[in-house]
Amino acid sequence: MPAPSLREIEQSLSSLWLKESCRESFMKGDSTVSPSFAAEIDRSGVELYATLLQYGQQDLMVSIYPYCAKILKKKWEPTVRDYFLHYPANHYNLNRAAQRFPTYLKNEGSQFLSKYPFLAELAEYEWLELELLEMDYVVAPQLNLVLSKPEQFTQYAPLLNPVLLLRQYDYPVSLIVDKLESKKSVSGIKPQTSRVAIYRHPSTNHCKFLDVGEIAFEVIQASIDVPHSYADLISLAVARAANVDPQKTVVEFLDLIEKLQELQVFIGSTKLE
Amino acid sequence: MTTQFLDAKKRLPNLGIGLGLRRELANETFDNANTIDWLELVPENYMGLGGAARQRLEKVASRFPLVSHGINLSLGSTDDLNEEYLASLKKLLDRVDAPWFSDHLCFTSVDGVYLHDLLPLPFSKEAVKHAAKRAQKVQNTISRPFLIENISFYMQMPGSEMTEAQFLSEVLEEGDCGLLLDVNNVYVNSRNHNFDPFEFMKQIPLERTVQIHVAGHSTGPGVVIDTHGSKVIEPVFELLKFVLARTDVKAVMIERDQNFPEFSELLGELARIRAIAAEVQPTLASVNRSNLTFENTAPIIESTKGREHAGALSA
Repeated sequence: MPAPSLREIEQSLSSLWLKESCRESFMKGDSTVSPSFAAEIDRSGVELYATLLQYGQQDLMVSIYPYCAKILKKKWEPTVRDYFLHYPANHYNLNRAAQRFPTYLKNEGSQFLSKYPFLAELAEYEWLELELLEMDYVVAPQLNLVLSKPEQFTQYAPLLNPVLLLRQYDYPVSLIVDKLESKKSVSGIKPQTSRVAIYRHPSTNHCKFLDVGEIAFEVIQASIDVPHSYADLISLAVARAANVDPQKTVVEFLDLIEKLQELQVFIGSTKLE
Repeated sequence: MTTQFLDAKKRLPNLGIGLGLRRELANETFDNANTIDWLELVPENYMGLGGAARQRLEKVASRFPLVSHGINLSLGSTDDLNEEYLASLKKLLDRVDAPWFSDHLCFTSVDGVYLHDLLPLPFSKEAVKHAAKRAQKVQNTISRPFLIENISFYMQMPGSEMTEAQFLSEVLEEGDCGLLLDVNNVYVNSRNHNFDPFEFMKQIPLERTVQIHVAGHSTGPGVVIDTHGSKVIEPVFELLKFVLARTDVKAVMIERDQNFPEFSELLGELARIRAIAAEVQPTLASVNRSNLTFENTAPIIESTKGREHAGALSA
């Protein structure tokens, strides 16, 4: 019998370490491992590596998805094992191995989604924190412009924090997180559109989650697409709040801008060409 | 066998006694910068990343000599070398001006799947040729001296034709690379595979050693695991002394990846290493970069989200 190649050995052992079904078959003696080297494989070594690899996977996933883990309780560990079977790590960055968990829940998590229909949204919410924490972008300090002259409203646009993502969810994900933090039940949560700006604070590098209303969401969204002058954004807000006194909307808009600057969602102003 | 590496080794800087940079230890590392000569970073924790990781990198690069110790080069994998990885690694090494870089004699990926652990290779002639050829290619691509680390392993792989010492020696000599000798791994393997660690070290080309890792391990039922999560034990210090008495080494460091103790415990271990070096290799112990300070003394606010790569199997 020819000696096994390095590739055969790497492939076979990886399958034994990573896949419980392969491992069980091998232990029973009816595996697909080539008979040319099956007898040479140290069974206790296979079990040990499988345990160590699983430990690493579990440790990684619970660090990124602590709220999903809290919800799934005893089902969390088998879910993580199943996730890695469906979506094995495909990047050298360790944390990226966890990236496709929200997709896994959408595609494979029907048994959980019937009880916790918000679970995939919650997982995405948790993943985005990590994505923003690691995003390779340096935010240079900017001076904030005090809007004191009318022409500044047409000449300047807010400068958006570049390490920011906007999401609209079908469920109140921030509320769900709050409930989990305070150890309250999240069963029976009803659908309710929620909007959140998730961003990395340029000073602390920490990730912030800001719940925003519909108009604030649109103002920030407009600023992501292309720079819009403050005047354009006021027009947008007034148009979207058609049933409200425009003067009141303008005052609320100015308050919103001030708050977004304070929170570093807007990190300054930029003069339009 | 080629010996260009040995000539190159003579020109490498003497870094002294250092520590592995970990986010959990970062601020205390900065606070104790005057007792730590240099730092080793895990490049995967910085390649293409911003935020606190980049802030940490910039801060340490302004103060410490840095070397890079990779996890996912996957030297022994039969997959193609990951060109994107190599380009990103080179960019990082250029940025921090690392005098050398290292990774492990193992595989971490196959068929495009990363297992994110250091997995043993069969000690075979095919694996020697494969790993040595890739080591040469990596060394040429990165344009810096490349060190290969001996790993801890918990099972003999099928297809093995030689001992670990022979395997390691042949890869180092055929690849003409340096050795990052992990004396804790030698100890762990000697316990798990029942050999004399001192005899092991007599059988490998110690003259290729540029850097040494010192770490702790955990003892479980019937197996010793290289966790980097406990104190360094006396037999590991004895192995360190054995090597330092026999060959010129440029850098020694402590790896601590989990179960983090009071920082004073790590400082004590660094002092112990310095004392051993002072006894048998004084030039290594006398590197002194004191009286340098950070321009930015504000602590970095580290998140606990996600995990950093580390040099040992999690356990």
